[in-house]
Amino acid sequence: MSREDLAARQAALLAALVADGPAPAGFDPARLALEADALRAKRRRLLLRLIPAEVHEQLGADLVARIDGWIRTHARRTGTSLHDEATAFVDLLRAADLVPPSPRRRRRGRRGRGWRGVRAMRLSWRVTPGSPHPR
Amino acid sequence: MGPTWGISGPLFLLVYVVLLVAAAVVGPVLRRSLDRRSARDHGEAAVPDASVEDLALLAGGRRRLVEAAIARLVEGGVLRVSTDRRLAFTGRPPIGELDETVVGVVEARPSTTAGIVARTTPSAAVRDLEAGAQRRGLLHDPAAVRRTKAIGTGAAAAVFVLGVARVAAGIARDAAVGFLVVLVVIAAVVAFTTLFVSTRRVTPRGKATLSQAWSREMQSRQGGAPAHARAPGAVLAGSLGVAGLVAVFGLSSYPDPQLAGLLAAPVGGGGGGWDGGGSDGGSSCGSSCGGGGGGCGGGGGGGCGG
Amino acid sequence: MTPSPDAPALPGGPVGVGIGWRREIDLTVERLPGVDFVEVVAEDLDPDELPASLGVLRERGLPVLPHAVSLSLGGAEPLRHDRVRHLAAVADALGAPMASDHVAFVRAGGLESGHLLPVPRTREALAVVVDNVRATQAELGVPLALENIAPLLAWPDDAMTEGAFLGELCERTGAWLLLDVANLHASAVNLGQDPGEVLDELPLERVVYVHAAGGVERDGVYHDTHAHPLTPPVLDLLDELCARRRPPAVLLERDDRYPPDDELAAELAALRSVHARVRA
Repeated sequence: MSREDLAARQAALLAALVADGPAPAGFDPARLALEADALRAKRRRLLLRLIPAEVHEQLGADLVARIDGWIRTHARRTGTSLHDEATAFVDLLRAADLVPPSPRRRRRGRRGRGWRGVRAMRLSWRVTPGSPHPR
Repeated sequence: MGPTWGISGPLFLLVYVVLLVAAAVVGPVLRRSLDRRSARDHGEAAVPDASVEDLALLAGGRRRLVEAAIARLVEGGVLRVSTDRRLAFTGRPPIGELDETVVGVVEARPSTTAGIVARTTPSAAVRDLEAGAQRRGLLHDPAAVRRTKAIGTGAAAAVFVLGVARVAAGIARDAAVGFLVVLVVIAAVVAFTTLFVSTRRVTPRGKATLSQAWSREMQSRQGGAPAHARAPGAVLAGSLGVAGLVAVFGLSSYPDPQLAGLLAAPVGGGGGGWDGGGSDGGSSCGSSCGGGGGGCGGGGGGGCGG
Repeated sequence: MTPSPDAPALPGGPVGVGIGWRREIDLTVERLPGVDFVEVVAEDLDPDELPASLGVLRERGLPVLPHAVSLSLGGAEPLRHDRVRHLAAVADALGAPMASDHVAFVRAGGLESGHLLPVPRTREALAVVVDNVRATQAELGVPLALENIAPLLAWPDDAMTEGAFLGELCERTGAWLLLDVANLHASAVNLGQDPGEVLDELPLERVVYVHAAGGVERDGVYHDTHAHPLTPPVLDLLDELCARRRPPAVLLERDDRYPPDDELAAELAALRSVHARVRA
């Protein structure tokens, strides 16, 4: 198995986990589903942290359902940070008039953190290496 | 051509000064009478069983009340503060309605003291505690205080309008209006400053209660080192406990200086441990600290205890 | 012969008990008793603007060790040199004696996993990881340690044991081991791997320090959450490791739902008691 072969197999596994790709041969389907759930849960948790407070307040419990829907249809592409994702998600909510526009904070991932904080958050695509846990 | 409105300038000035003084004192006089009525109904002696919440409301109003709860939660490990001044919930359950409300605010999202205060002060828990302090004669009914404010402001405004009319009439007749203009300006200032009288007003009983807590704390400190000199972590302060200490003296008196610095408002952010001037914040400042006169604390300086 | 725990295998490496520094608990970490060193997630830091809290710790002489999560050393795609340079810059800014990342992949085919995924344990994959590790070492400037991950799934064509795979990786690259006992426990529960056999095969003299963390087991699956208390099986594994060869240091990882300071202090004390226990 060459480096190219390994790259292709890793890409197929990752696509199956985060982008609704076909399950690669030989893997336990239950384990694939478990891993996919864990990745989604982690992404949801980190996105929830990055989304501005006013969006949390506006959408309440509905926010989690919307994030889950968004995660299922938007695999994170190489080169985009979690912060980019949070911004894109919130922009989508604003475009759909679900959240009132907030031009001043438009480019800020987290209320009051300021640019420096956002920069740190952007770097932090992994904050918690964990799996789902109840909150 | 006779004098304006048939009243000579000097006579008008004399009458105007009398009216102005009356307008300036009517509010304070009415509030003094509220004090007398409260003293009649509830007495002037300190309540023996004042709670931390009572003391906080007396010393610094709703804001201080929430600050005292924050201090209690930090000391008990329910909240933790990080160096960015944000407080976060640790998962340890809070006890009591006020503390639960504060934790509810923080649980959703870590927040600074100021943010927690802003979101907790409108809560039912805070209103209930305030109503309780009013029922027991520690605080005046804000509606009654508001009436005295309205009368004071109205009187000063009326004096101001009268003066403006006289000035206008005088100018139309080319009469001298210089002295009157000065008095009119003073009337405007009086009317304006009356707007800033707090509606949260401590009764004589409340003042005695706070004063007693203050002096007991001072006595208990005579023996040991002042709270500020103690090692971090040793947070047993005098007779009041940490929450009581913060209730009476503000967050800048939290016994652990590093935590005090993070919990209290940032230096330069205004009044430090104090509410700052303002509507319902509190202006019992000068007298509330039992004659010590230090209740306002300096900006982050350390309150009465410093 | 078991070497003294005070003599780190890696010169200048950590000794004793440490905790993962996170912004949310920066003051707690500064004030916790019994912290001998800390670890930081390199991706969270800007080497030009390190948090003041880390300065406080460094002034006390505490080692601050950068730990990376995004190098994708187990990935078959070309190594991201920008991320290696970032890790090198953070290590340099911290004056760290070493840096670390995982034997895992996190990106492939233009997608990011957002979490550590296992590498197939085949000789071909091992060759790829060896190449990535060597390229990283060439740029890093400080010794590199590699960490085992907590897997939820296994590749169908795994041909080597985890111990043999990591052992040969260290041998061929000269890399150090950052051994995670919670992840070892996760492999045991989730993949049926015998942790004792893994310890038998690993070059324990290359362990620079150990990670321990809390998690939960649900429906027969162990989730390495770093958001729950340490569990007895993880402490038992640390004990078993120490009985074979005591590592120089052990570090508590906590990344979410941070408990009160006294509970964190108790977890550190529990780790210290296992680590410092005198064994016959």
